[in-house]
Amino acid sequence: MAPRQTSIQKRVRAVILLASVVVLFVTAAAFVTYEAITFRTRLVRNLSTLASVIADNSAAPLAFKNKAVAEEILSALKAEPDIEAAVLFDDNGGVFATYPKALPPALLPRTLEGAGHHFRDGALILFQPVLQENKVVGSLYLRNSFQGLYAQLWRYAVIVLFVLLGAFGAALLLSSVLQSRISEPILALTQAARRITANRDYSIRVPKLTEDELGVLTDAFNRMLLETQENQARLGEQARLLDLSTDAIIVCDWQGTVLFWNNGAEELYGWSRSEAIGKRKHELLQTIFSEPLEEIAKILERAGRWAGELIQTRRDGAHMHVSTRWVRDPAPSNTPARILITDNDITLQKQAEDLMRSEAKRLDALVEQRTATLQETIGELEAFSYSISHDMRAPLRAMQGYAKALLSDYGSKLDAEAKHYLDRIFRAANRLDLLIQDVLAYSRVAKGEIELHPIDLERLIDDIVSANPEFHAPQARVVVEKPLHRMLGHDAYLTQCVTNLLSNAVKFVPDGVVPEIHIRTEAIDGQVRVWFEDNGIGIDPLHYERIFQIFGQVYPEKKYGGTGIGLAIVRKAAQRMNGEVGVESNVDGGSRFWLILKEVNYDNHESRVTPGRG
Amino acid sequence: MTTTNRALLLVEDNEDDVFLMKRALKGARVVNPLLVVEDGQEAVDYLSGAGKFADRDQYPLPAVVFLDLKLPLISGHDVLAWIRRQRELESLVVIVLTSSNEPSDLNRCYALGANSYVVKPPTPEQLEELAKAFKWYWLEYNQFDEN
Repeated sequence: MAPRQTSIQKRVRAVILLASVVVLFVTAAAFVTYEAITFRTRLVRNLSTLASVIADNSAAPLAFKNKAVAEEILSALKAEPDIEAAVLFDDNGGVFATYPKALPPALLPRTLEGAGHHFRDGALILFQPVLQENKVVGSLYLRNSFQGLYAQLWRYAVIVLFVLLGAFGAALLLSSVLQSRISEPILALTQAARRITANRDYSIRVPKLTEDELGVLTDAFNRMLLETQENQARLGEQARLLDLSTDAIIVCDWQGTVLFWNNGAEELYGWSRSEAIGKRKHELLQTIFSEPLEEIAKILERAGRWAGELIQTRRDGAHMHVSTRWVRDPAPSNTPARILITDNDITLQKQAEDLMRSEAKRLDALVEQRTATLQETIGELEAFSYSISHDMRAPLRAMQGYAKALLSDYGSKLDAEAKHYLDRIFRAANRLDLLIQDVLAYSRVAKGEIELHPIDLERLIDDIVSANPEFHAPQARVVVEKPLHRMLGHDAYLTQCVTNLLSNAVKFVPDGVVPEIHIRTEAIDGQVRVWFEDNGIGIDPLHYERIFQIFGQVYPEKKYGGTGIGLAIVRKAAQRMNGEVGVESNVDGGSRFWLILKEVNYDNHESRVTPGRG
Repeated sequence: MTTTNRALLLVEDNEDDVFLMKRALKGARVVNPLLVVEDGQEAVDYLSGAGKFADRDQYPLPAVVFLDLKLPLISGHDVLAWIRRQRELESLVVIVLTSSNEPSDLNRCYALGANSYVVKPPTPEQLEELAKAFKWYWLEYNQFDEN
């Protein structure tokens, strides 16, 4: 126990001691009172008995007037120290014998009284008649002093005093044990409470010392501490997390006065917590709002939240762009509303945006400039193509024309060799003309925007075949395996493709073979592949890529003719129609060219059951 | 069928083409007078009767103009556009005879009011066939506005 007496210990001890003392005193008083009351009755009874015995014994000496015997009988009273005086009277009332022999006259009764007793002059006085054969022969007088009573009372008093002292000591001893059982748990609680208040340390627990109400109180107190500790930890955690945020988290009242200012805010704005709290936020940071503050307040009032961008000034004077989100704290009624503000720095982002905008503007200008240059170049190229088609073909026509005119007008004057030379001039010019026309065709499909439409391939092929005598009997045979799928394409481009592919097919055949071309289509994954299978001379797989390049001719021109541009035109046209072209060898000789184009989307169309067929 | 004997005007700067055209028309037995101008400005002057072309006896207003597109000074397109702006030339038949088979040329000529668009055939035989077809259609069947 603590060396210093606490008030609760003193009080408990005082209560115990007081209770003990009161009980002892009451007990002692009762005892003494009882003794005082019963002592007299006991005294009267003892004295009466004594008087009877002495009276009986004294009857004979009194009758025979034997004084010596009578005195001897009386002297037996020596055994009773409290008997002060005894007197035998004769039947005449005269003193017969006394005890002690020399009785002081003060102790003699003044008058002879009848039988009975009474208390007088601090003593018990008793008169007893002496009888001899029922005849009064005298009377006995006894006087018993109270000395014995007083001595006894005194002894009682001493005993009571000792008992009191002993009891008090015992009570003192007991009280120190008992009070500790009551006060210790209370003291423990008090001390714990004092330590918690001093250190704000909610991890302290009070040891449970008893199982009684104090134990329950201790448990409750500990439970309360645990909850407080958990709450404290949670609050601490939340506060720590708020401080971890690199965003500035600020709480203001409705007037904008800062109530809370986290680490993020300190870092962002350079103002410490203690500097910021109590100041108006927008004054401290010289806020420039994107809309009037009254408007923001209205929005907050109505919607509970507002977000926007602000320009604010740091403590060091630097301006910064801030993205901010305001939430009105739905404070309980009778407390003023507060605003939770989260700010984050978007200065870099803003700068990047500005940079990007200016960069985009610069790029736009650049693109515009380049486009203009490109358009100029295209224009020049177009002019060039135009001039080719006119200026270069004109002399060719002249060459052809004069050669023919020479042959027809002066044929009769020329020998066979001269005619052959003229024929060679004519053919060469003719071939150059074809070349120029193909180059122009290629450049035509290579430029300009086109729109794709659904194409009826069957009709398109029919038109091509009927317009070109070299594609039908007896010169060639074109077999179309109808029906053909419909596809997305461009009429002129697709006509160019089909014409060129058919021209090749009828051109590259072994001598004496009638060209035969099978055309069919198949649908694959939303696309249509058109097959052109011929019975021609076939192509070495080595050349599959080359033949589609411009001037990628692989066969001697002398034998088969052609400019070497036809398939390049087909490929370019196919690409312009978002398609592809390719070739593979036929198992039994010949080539299989294919052209892939987008299938016409037949959704919601009646021929959906056989998609692509038509 | 009344065969017209009105003049024909060939606007062509290439003398080879002039030669071949004359030869083809002769081969087709076209007997109408053929007058030739060599550039766009001359064509305009001829048709408006300006300068040396004021004499309509020597330079009669033609019934048909063969117009090349690629011409010095004023292009064939501009000549065509000019013709179609003249009230007195509104019934003049203009046949564009060019080496260009560019769709853009073709579209533009019809838009400007050409009566026909013909790509110059590559061989003299084909040119003569063309001359014959021309004679048969335009000179024999076609009715001209004689006013």
